Amino acid sequence: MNSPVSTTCAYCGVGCGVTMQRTATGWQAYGEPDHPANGGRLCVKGSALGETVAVKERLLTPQVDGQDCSWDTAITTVAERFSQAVRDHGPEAVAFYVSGQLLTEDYYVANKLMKGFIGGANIDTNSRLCMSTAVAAHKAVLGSDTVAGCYEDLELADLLVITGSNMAWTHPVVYQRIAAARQQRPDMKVVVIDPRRTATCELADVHLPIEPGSDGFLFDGLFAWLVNHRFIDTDFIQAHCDHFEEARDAALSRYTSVEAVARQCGIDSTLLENFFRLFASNARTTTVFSQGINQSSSGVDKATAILQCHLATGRIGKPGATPFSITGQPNAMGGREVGGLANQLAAHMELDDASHHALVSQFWGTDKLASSPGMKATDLFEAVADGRIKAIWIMATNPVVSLPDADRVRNALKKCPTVVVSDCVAATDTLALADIRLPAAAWGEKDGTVTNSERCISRQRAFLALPGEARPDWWIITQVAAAMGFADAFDYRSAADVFREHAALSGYGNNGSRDFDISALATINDEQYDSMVPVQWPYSTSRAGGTVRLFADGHFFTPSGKARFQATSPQMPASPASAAFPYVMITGRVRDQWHTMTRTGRSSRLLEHLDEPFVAVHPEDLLALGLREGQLARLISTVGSALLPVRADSGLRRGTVFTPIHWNDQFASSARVDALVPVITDPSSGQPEYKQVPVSLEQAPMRWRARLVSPDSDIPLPENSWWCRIPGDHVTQWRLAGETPLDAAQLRSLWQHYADQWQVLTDDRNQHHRLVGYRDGVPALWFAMATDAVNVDAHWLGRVMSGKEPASAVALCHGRPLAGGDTSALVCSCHRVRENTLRKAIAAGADSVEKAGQQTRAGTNCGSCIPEIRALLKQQALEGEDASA
Amino acid sequence: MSERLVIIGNGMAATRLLSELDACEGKRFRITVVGEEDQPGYNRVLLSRLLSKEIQATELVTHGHHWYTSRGITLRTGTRATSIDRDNRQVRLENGEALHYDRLVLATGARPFLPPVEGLSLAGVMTFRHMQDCTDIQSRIEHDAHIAVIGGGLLGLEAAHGINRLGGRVTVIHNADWLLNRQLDAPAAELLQASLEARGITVKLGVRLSRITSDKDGAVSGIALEDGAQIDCDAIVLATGIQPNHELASQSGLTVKRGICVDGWLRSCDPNIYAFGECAEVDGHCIGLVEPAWQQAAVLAQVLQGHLPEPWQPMPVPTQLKVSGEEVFSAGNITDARAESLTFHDPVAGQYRHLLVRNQLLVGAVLYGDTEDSGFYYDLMRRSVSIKPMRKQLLFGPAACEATP
Repeated sequence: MNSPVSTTCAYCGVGCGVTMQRTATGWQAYGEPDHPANGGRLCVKGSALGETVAVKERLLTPQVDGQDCSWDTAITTVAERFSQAVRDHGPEAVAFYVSGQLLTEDYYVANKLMKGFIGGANIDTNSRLCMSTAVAAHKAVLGSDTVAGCYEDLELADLLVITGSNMAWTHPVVYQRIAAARQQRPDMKVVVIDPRRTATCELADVHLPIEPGSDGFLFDGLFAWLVNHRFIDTDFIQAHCDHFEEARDAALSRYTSVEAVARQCGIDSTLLENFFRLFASNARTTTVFSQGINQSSSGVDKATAILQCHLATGRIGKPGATPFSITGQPNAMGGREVGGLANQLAAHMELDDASHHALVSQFWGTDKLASSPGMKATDLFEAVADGRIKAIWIMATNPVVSLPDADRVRNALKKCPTVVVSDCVAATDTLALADIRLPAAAWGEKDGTVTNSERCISRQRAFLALPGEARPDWWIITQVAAAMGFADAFDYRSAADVFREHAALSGYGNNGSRDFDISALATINDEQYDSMVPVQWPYSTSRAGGTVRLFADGHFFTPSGKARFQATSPQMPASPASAAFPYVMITGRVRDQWHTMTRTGRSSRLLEHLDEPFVAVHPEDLLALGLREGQLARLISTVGSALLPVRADSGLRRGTVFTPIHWNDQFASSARVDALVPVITDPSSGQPEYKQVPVSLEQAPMRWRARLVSPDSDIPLPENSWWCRIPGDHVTQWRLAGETPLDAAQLRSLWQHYADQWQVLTDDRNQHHRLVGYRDGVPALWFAMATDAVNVDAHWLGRVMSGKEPASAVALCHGRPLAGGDTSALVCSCHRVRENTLRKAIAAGADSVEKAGQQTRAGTNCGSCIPEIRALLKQQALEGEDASA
Repeated sequence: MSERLVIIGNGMAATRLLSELDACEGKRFRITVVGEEDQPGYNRVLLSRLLSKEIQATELVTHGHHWYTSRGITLRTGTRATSIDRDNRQVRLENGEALHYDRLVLATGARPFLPPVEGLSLAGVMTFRHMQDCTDIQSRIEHDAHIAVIGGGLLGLEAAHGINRLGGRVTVIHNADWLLNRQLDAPAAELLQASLEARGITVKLGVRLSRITSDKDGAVSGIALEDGAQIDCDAIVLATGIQPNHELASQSGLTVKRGICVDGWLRSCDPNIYAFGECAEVDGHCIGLVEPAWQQAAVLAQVLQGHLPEPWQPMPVPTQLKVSGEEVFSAGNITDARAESLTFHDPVAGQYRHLLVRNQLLVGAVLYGDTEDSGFYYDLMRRSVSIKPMRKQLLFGPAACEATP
């Protein structure tokens, strides 16, 4: 397989086309120039895909009850245990918890097996945590789960409103497209609504730093203001919308003034009114929303309010004028298409719609089809906890890390009689609790389709052979289905077989009644499937070539064909800050990590941007708490706690803190921040309120802090220590801290099997100790401990320890190159350009991102670091002014 | 008529003083130098490299005959001063000649300390201080002698190294528990010992010489140790320290303790007589190294010019072992029990650092294996720089200390 392979990126919902090219040492990812999502661009995570495909730390053999076994045994066991549970307790006693990381084909057969043949509807997906709010709002208002617009609308807009999204980090390629568009059209205005001043704000003309969770009031206020000032499109409303009056009256009954809305949102009223005027005066307005809206106990009302501001102004599905929900996962939308959520049936049909039920029963040839919704993710795990669920199969997701009240999820799984986990990696916090482990094919090995945020279906193609006993998820599921007695309904030979059936179902009895229709693809042959080019649904005989935008014609997928305004009631977060929990924790992503790090955690390059979990705190709050950057803070909520290093972030509002969601027990001792999130969900969508968690924050006094570096990744750590693991190219690094004294002799005995001679640094008085363990004369373990932070350049140390770079004994002990070594923050991961290098270039006259790029190469590959370069430019320009003032 | 300055001694201290005076703008003396050895001024520090034949004798010379004559300095070599007539301000030489002086400088140096044991006069008992000693030792090596070096200090190890380099068989006998016990701590000395032993030098520690035994021809046959052990050898190099040559001074009634007592301006109790270098004692301090002797020479040159510079006072003086391939550095107080120790020890690389800190000041340093950073540490000690802000980096040297912590 030496010719380049076109596929789709494994990460976010942008769904970029990627070309994988074989190199001398592995694989290199390039942006696919012809893909409509990215047009050749890639972000830093996408660029590093080649670094994450090595077959290490993979699950390669099926295991039942801790024993390796054959696929036959594993499949028979899964089928027997699920069948037994169904026989004894009914179809509601079993569950699948699946994932937006599955391909559409995998998803389709999982849903078909549960809803069609087991006959329950307890299949839910981690999209519940991500997009279910947008789904609910879309269905309520538009009649279908349809994203009206496309990425191009973000470029064509005269006003782009970004709310609840740090897309510079979470959807970098879309962000780059916007940045490029604005360079072309400098008049384009960008408004960012976010409690934090994020990297995305680098592009903003206006930043509205609202009180966390107050978005509903803002858009409700905007809607009322638009009505009051007659900026609404009455023709469009009259012709194409129902229930406008109810929505209007509800909003007006609450509305008093812009000032009152501004007060509620915690921002300056002039700033807010300025935004309202911008919204009113720009026909081409696109509003992008994501998790900041969705992950809320009143998220559906928030998303609804956004949709209604657009409906009321007739700005939907028109070039540059549309609401736009952007998804988190590569195939969140594909999962929704097949019915992967517990309250959907399949192909955008409804469980409680008798005609849909009849259609699907007929199509699948089953008389067991579930007829009422199953349990949503958090309810599902509650049912696992209280014993109603006897067997659960978790596929391609890590709920022990990602679900709210994650410790309770862990305890629930511990008690569950049968836990099956399909995954491609060897160790996750969830796999640790599995009775049966099934080795799934990974990205690069599996074949199928995904749908991105703009309804674009793209092929993920295999370019690697299946390692060990790993198998595609669709194959595993169909084998289990067959073993449960449903062989005839699951007689697929390939992913293409599954896809054709999925496409056929979408058109089955559709006749234009349902938005999701890809029936034009139902008859493609294997070659056409292999060479399929990206296409945006609907894609049917009447919509040949796919569909870029919907609803501009005013036709909606409701019984009346009209959109349905909703009377909303904006809410602040269900659980406000209190005296006991005075800070509001906002959870979110960081630029170079993805989900629970099972893939991105393997790339040392991706760990250099931010390599440890943290809690970001406003500098003045730090002062008030007597905390310093780098110290450990204990965060406590009503349900859990975490121990995290502190970072200062002046982009936060006072009283709010930010924690990344990625770190888990594989990477740190106490960093699963979702263990702090209480189970509070939107009553309609079931999506948890991850974004506003009241916590208390206090310094965790540590007697010592340390770093450990070794080519061995299984070194025992001192007992009761706080730790964080940072995998590297040649070595693994741990940061450690502890409250109880630790002496070097103890450590040498702990690590006696890893070294036969020891280099020792001792400064007893200063409690500074270092150890370098040699095995056969080669450094095999590096350790340094002090009362405060210890620095190390683990990348350099890795090169030294693997014999790739010479170092003196003193430099080895120092852990960093001596003389001239630069260990400032890595800004550009692609070209390994550090902050100091950039600062020097800027000081020497590089006064733009471009010039800085020309001189240092920073930002010239994937461009993900450009916001940081811009921030450095700004900062240095300000410093220059200060100096000359 | 300019003043007459007589300098007794023509070692490294004396020649340095001559150079200092030569560089002075001020008054000129009529100078006469009396040197016991036949050679004009040479660099004694390089004797160990001469012994190991790494350099030629001519390369040692710092002040040749021409240097003296061209400056009008009278040099008497191969003769000794026998007495001083302070009343008449005359120095009498071995040959009976009398030299009148207005100012007299005693730079008589030191001689090897000889332990009070039997057999010192046997053929094959040598010391290591003069050029001639090198020739003597080399001829023993040529006759395949097994040579015992008594004393594992700087000089003894330099001699042992020279012998070893020339292919000679050599055993170092040292009475302390580790080599260079005045300069090094035990871990550094162990690394050094291992390295020397790897070169083929035998080391015996914690043993005292009892007597030197002879064969029937009256030549050295071995040594007997106080613990009763006997070591056969054909020759002996005594390197058990030095003692100041102060007899000339004491006989003439000058105050003498271990050395000739002088003040910080190197003045003896006789206002016309000065003493410096290894023969002198300042506030109880006798010196044995070149660097402080040169510092004294600079002070004395000023004093002789009629100035009163900052008086000389003992300072931490770094020592380095002149043995190729052995990097050893020691400075300051390395046995200060109240100091805080910072240590670095790498048995694989054969490197060691021990820094002693008191009141946030570096007061002592021992380096073994890699002495690249010795200048940095010495500078911190000399300038009394607070190490507080760089303490965590201190063992890693200047590159780490100057960078951000």
